[in-house]
Amino acid sequence: MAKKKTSILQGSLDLLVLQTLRDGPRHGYSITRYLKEVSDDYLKVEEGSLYPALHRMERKGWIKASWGVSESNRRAKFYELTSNGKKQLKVEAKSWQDMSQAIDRVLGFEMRTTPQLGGGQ
Amino acid sequence: MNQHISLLDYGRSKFRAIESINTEIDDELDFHIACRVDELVDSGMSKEEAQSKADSEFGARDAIAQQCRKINYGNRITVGRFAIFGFLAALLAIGWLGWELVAQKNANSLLNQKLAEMNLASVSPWLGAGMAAAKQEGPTDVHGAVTDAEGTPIAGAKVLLIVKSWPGGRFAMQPLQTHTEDDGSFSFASAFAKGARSEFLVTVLADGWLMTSDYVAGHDGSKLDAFSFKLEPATEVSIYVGERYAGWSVFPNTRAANSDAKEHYVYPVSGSAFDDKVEDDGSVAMNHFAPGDELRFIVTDGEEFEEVDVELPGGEKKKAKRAKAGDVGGQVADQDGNPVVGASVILLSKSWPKGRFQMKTSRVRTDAEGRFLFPKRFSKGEKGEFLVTIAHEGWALDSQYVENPDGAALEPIEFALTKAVEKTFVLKLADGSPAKNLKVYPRGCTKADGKEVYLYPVSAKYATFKTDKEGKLKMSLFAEGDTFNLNFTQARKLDGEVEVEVNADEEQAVTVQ
Repeated sequence: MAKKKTSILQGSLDLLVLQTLRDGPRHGYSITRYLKEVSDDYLKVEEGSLYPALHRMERKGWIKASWGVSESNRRAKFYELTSNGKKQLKVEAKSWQDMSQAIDRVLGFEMRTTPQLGGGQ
Repeated sequence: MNQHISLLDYGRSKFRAIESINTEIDDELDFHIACRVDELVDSGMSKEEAQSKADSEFGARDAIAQQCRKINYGNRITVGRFAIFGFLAALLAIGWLGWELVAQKNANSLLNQKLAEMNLASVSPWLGAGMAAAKQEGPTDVHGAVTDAEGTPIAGAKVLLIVKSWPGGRFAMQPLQTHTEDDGSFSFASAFAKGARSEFLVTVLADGWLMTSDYVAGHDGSKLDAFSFKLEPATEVSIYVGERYAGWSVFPNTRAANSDAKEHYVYPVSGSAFDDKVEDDGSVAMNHFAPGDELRFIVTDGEEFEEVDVELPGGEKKKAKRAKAGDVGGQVADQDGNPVVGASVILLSKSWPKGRFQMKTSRVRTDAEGRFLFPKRFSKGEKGEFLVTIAHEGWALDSQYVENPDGAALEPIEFALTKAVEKTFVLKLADGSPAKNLKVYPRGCTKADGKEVYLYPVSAKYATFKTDKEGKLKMSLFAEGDTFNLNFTQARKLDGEVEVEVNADEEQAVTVQ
């Protein structure tokens, strides 16, 4: 007997980037600074992962890019969510929440009502 | 003639499109580094220090740019389009040279001179290196010889060269390739700029001989000494990288030699020099390695790149020597204490360097005595946690979670496996149709005796299976009464998990939707 259980997320970078772009366009550097700040310096996104991920998500149609001028008056590439990206964000956020709660249950932690970012037990 | 013009116009437009993508990627990465420099300067650092620190933090800029390029236009266009233009450029160059040669009737000297002036290697690395190989060594050539241990030349060996330089303060890395001549010699003409700081990685791969590399750092741009490679014989081995990579390209990235602990490298930018593919059973045969070597391979489908660590069986001396703090090791046996040879041992290690959580995964196979070893997985005195999972066909999935809060030397981790039942799972969608070509992995299970066994998603690549056209999947990793979580994905259309209680039937239906 098999029964449908949960959807599970294998990586969190896409989720974090999509979430970061939820409030508006950002360039790559701004995404790393935002994640660093909101996580109290806990999360550091490696550039070697971020830029390939951005280009991959752009190709998937989750985000779109345009060139503009940064806050320091430099030419910068800004990314923003597409409608597909907004849908994907919901899917990935739900998957993360489900997985987080499932892991908590396995570990005997109390149930959380909101997903926690970061790793470790 | 019109056709030729059309072809050239087509080529030019394609070349411009690719060039435009390349420029945008470079600009984007440069912007990131410039922002970091600004931030560091604002914090009180000098501009030079800030630039150096920002470059260092950013890491392998060219490799990141290369990865972005491949995502945008894939391997085929990278190689194919540039090969077309390298070829056209070479044809034009050869035609022009021929005209000058006839006109001046001074073939040999002019050919050598023009080749050096034009630096054809920079137009088309693969073509340029081959063409330039026959000429005498110039002041900016990279050259050398490849022989066996007794000095007998090895002809036809693949020689990969990476030239690192810093023109205008910006890091650049150029991959070149050639083969050794009948006398074992090789040469890359005009491979670096005279008087400019450069670094070189030369890697030699010859069938039946060990992958060997040499690195020259901090070269001042003067004439470079000849490289000399004395290769040791290799044995052909079938290397398992995983079924999920079937059909992907694969090439060696590093080889940590068992004999002398020296590391040999192939940089990812040289990956297109290889045409090895992963077989359907997840393996690839290669003859560049020795027993006990620790290897890292890169597998790619042109868009995604993944690293796979493999340790070849053998090398007992080295293992005995390495029984020290930092290693994670142990032994896998059956219920009677007999060693389980070739078992797939998956390690997920968690650490907190400088307070930041880090999670890494790797896989080795047990040796002839059922032993496994992951060397240097943690630093002495630093907290670490380790999940070791044994996922080996024919044996029930098992795992152990080890906490090491003080970073002390770990005791060997012992497993006593039980036999798994041979099962064929038939995966179906909700409408009863077969769930064909579905990638699945067991995320964990609860054994009949209540023991929980885990395989983290990040390690799934080491235990991934695929259903056939009828949705069938042979997977012998569980005992009757076990309940496991089967994670499934299908080309990003399906993504989920089902809980399966293993029954006594040879075939068991599982609905995944």
